[in-house]
Amino acid sequence: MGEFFELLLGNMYCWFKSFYSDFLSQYLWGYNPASGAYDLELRYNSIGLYTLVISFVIMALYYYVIDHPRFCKWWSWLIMALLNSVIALFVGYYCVLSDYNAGIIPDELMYLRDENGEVVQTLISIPSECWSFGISNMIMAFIFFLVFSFLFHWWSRVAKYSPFIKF
Amino acid sequence: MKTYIFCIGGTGTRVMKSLAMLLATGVEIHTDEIVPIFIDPDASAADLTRTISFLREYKYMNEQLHFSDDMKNCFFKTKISEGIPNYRLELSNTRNDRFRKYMGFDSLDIANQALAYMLFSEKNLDSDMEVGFKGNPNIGSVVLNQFAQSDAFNDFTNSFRPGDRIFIVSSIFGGTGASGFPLLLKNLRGIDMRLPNAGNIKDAAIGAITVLPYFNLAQSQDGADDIDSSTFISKAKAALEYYNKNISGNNSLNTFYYLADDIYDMYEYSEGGTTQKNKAHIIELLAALAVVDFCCMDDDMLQSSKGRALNPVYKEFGAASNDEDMIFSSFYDDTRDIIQRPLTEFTLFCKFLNEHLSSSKSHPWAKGKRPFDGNFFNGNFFKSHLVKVINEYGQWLSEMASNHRGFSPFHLEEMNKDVFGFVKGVKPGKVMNYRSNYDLFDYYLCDIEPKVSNNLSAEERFIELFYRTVNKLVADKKIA
Repeated sequence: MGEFFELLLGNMYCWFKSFYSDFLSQYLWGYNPASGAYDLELRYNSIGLYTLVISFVIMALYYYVIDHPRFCKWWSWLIMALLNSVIALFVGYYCVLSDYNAGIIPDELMYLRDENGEVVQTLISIPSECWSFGISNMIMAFIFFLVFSFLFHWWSRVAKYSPFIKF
Repeated sequence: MKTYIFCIGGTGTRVMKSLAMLLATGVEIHTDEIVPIFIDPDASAADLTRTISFLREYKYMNEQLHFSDDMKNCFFKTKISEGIPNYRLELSNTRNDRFRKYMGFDSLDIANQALAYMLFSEKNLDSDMEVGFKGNPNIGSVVLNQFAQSDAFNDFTNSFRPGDRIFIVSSIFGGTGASGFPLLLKNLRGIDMRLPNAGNIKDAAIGAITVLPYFNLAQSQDGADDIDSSTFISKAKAALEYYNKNISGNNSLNTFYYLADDIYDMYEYSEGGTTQKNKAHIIELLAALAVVDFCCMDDDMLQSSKGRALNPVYKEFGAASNDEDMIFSSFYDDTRDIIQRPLTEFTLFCKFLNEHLSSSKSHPWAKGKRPFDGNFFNGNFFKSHLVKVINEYGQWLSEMASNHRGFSPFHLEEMNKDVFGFVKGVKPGKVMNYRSNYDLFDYYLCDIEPKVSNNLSAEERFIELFYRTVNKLVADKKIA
């Protein structure tokens, strides 16, 4: 059960793995080419937790802080959901880029080198894959926001039925 | 405990309307039930029909709301009953009848005819009584002497119970009120002991207010009008002299209120009927407050024996300032404490319904477990009754504001950018909430709606929700 939750976020991110390369995915799973094991930091979880927290904060902001009679329609919810997704896009981008800049991503996953150590092929192209992961994080953030909205909209005063309109 | 209110003539009618308006707003009155009884020969007077129509609406609203423990609402809380059919003490033989015929002038012998000529002019004798006595108390004192024999008076005596109180409202400067008041009082204190509950009525707590001249009537250029307002003061003086001997002089009343003003407005001339539609006036509102004051008095203060008050009290009304357009701060605290909060709450409720309801219906307060949907807003309660009451109330406020002396405590026009600034002379306080104006109102509605009991009917829930909301808003914004 513990393993299920440990891998849950990673498995969810893998729904959108086609946006970026397998090498980046392996890095995010914490794969260490040197040892051949997944003993590095599981970045899917850390980035996923940031995204979860941000989505929760934006949701709480919408339903409990703003909670405004003129900002409680379906489009208000959509604006907040898009805002959340855009923030997640940059979070995803920044996390991968900063890992690259810090040299944390194992070289074996970054480049294919010949016997002399010359780079034959770039396996994770920066920054395009940062944006690609950012897009998948953006979609994840939208899902989180939707789920949180389902769970927590009941206790809002004014935005209670947003975006789940009660006719 | 019931309070029977005898409303005599046009002023009595309009005072009752003001009282009903006050009760609609939730002004606290220490009686279980109000029973209005109109005494006015002019059955078609617009003021009378308007008042009776409003009383019917009030009665409907009151019957829809059951004021159980689940309800804090004070709107329409006091019961107003139709003690006698159509609220009106019918006077017989006054329709399409000349006074001459009514008193049997032609059958009098010559000596009595001569006496009648001393008391009544030719114009008096030929006057049609269907529209009242046109400022002639000498006619009224003859015609009104019959009401103790009427079926409606019998209904009144039948329903009277020990502890019930009686209040009489009349003007002193016209015909019906000036003559009807002493006659009615005589018939109550000297009631025929064969009538049911006669003993209880004879020694009942009886209060009255007499309203001195507070308006003039525009006269036609040829001066042929039957009612001459230049005689109001002299008639009032004569009547006061009479009251001094025959009412206060013999302790007939437990409490006697006098109300007078020295600023008059000029009303369009009307002898009565459908054209007698006077604007509401602050004097009528203050007269209605006399009823509230009377009901608050302890029974110990209102003891009577053998048809005489043991401790008669005489009261006048004083205002804190002489403003021509009065607002709440023109009154002393005692008056403000009674009316400011209920009037402010109800006016805010009316303003919301008129100005903002249509754009607020999509909010969660209207879509809860038991929603206020199209059926509710198109239903009988809301569309046919509540809206009518709200409109009548708004018109009543507007009429008082446009009268002279005016009472204009509210900005009745739409003020969407300063919704809570509608109470004149009161700066709204700050609340710890970033929402403002009708957004704040909507927010409070949504906040309070889940706390309103679902055991109530939709009508009760609607009024309860709005009562609690305006009550909290008025308190939080410190506007009353």
